[in-house]
Amino acid sequence: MEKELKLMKGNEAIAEAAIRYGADAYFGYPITPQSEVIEYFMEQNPIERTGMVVLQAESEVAAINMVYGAAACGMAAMTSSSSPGFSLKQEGLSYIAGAELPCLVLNVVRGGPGLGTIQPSQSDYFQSTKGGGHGDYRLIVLAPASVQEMYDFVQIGFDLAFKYRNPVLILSDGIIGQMMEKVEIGPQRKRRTMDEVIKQCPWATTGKTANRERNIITSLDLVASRQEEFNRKLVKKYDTIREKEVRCECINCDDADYVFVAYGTSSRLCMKAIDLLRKEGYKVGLVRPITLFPYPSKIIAGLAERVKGFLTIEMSTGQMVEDVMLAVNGKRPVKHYGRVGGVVPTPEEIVDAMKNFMKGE
Amino acid sequence: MAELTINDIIKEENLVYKKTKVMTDNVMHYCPGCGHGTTHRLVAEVIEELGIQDKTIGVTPVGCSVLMYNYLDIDMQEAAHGRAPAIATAIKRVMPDKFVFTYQGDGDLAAIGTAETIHSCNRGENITIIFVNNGIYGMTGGQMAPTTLAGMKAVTCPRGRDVNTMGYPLHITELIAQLPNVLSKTRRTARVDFRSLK
Ligand SMILES: Cc1ncc(C[n+]2csc(CCOP(=O)(O)OP(=O)(O)O)c2C)c(N)n1
Repeated sequence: MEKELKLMKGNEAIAEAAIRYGADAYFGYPITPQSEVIEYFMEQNPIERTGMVVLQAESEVAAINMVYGAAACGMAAMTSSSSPGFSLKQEGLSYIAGAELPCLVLNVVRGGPGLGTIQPSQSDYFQSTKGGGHGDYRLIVLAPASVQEMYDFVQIGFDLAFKYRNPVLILSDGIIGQMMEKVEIGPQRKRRTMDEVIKQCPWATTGKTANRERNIITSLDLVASRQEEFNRKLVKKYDTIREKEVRCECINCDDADYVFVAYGTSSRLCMKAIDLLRKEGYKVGLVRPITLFPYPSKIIAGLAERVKGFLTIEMSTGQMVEDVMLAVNGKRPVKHYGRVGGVVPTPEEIVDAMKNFMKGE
Repeated sequence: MAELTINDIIKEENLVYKKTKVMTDNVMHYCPGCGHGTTHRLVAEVIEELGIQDKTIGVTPVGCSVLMYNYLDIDMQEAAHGRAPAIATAIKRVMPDKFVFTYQGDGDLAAIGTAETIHSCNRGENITIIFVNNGIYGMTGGQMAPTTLAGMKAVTCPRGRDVNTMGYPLHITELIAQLPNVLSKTRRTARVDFRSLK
């Protein structure tokens, strides 16, 4: 079969991928730079294409709670937003994690804090990987670096969400969301029938039929010892995820003296910087975490045995760098370089930052 | 005349009332005099009467009735404080053949969840909202609710609700009744006979 190629924005690719995946529902609220997600959905009218429900909610709070409601029925449900809106979703995400429901959420990050800017940023790393909302929980976090990955991570994300009954976050930024690239589109998958949903999700609230006990979706347990037991169960799940689901790309690391650590847009900039540095004879590589939770700590720890140092490049004042430091555990120098507030660093700036780092500055 | 024995009394033809099967046997946690038990039973009886137990999904609020799912033998979801109508919206949209209801107190529905309430009603979502208004925040210990009456004392307005600083009780039901997409609104009192409490 011939490949289906399309020129798309990252935000459009997400929506098309969800329709093709056979997702059941999307709930969203407009915010720059991700409004194209809901606009594309509305334009495509997926209720006609596949029967998928799409609704513009009254707020991000309502949207994420709609996701909770649909997910609790065993549906493949998703929402998307950008930083200020994503803060509002933290309540719902905490409840979704606490009720162990599968869902997919997208954050097309812009600069903050507060209303910040509408320009791209990577300053929501802490919020995304360390919990974000209240309580001890984790999201599985995927960091796309291209429009193709925006498309592909929808399927990967939903599959992981259902495998672990855990919310999955695609952590993107204003550049990946807005830029247009060639995308290879997959075939249209059929949405599951109600019988298939019930078979896959026997825990879902699909109506208490005579052949089973009632299903209750809740994150509440007023007995402390039972709640502790549940917290421990979650930890076990997260440990399994740490063991099995790490995704990471190591580029030019085999002979590298120094490596960049960067995800998403920053990793693309580092690729260009590596080209420039290697032309000058510097042996430099890149570790690109694709999952930010689980973090590729073991891979970085392994590299710390032989490379001379790690420079993280982030469009933040230094967030992921803390995870690199934890992984390196004092063995090698670790530094951060970043531009913030919506400013994107140039490859030349990154080259200079690496040269300074190598000089020990 | 021969005396009636207990067995005569509970004969099928003498039965005028029995507990609906839609209620579980779990012991309720409500305080003496609380109307939630009565209201739960009414909801359960209607579900039985309509024969929709297998296709009803209920959404419970944050409030005294947070544990309602322990008492009704149907599939239920527990909502975050005030978000039940958003959750019910999604349930009904993804499974349009189900009967979906929320059960909410006045703090839940008319304070923190006002936006979710008004917008789900304004969209004309095909759901039922059961609004249980006791004029107070029960679960957290009797603080002022949006529905607390003018002059009424509560632990966060110990000198009575002052309408100049705290506003008038919010007539949320009347507000919602103005919305063209709202099909019907009824008002009932779940009366508790305190004389029986002694
Ligand atoms: C986000 C959030 N804020 C506050 C609370 C604390 N809280 C629990 S129940 C409640 C009030 C509920 O009052 P109402 O809806 O009138 O129901 P009632 O308890 O009177 O039945 C509050 C404020 C909470 N659980 N979550």
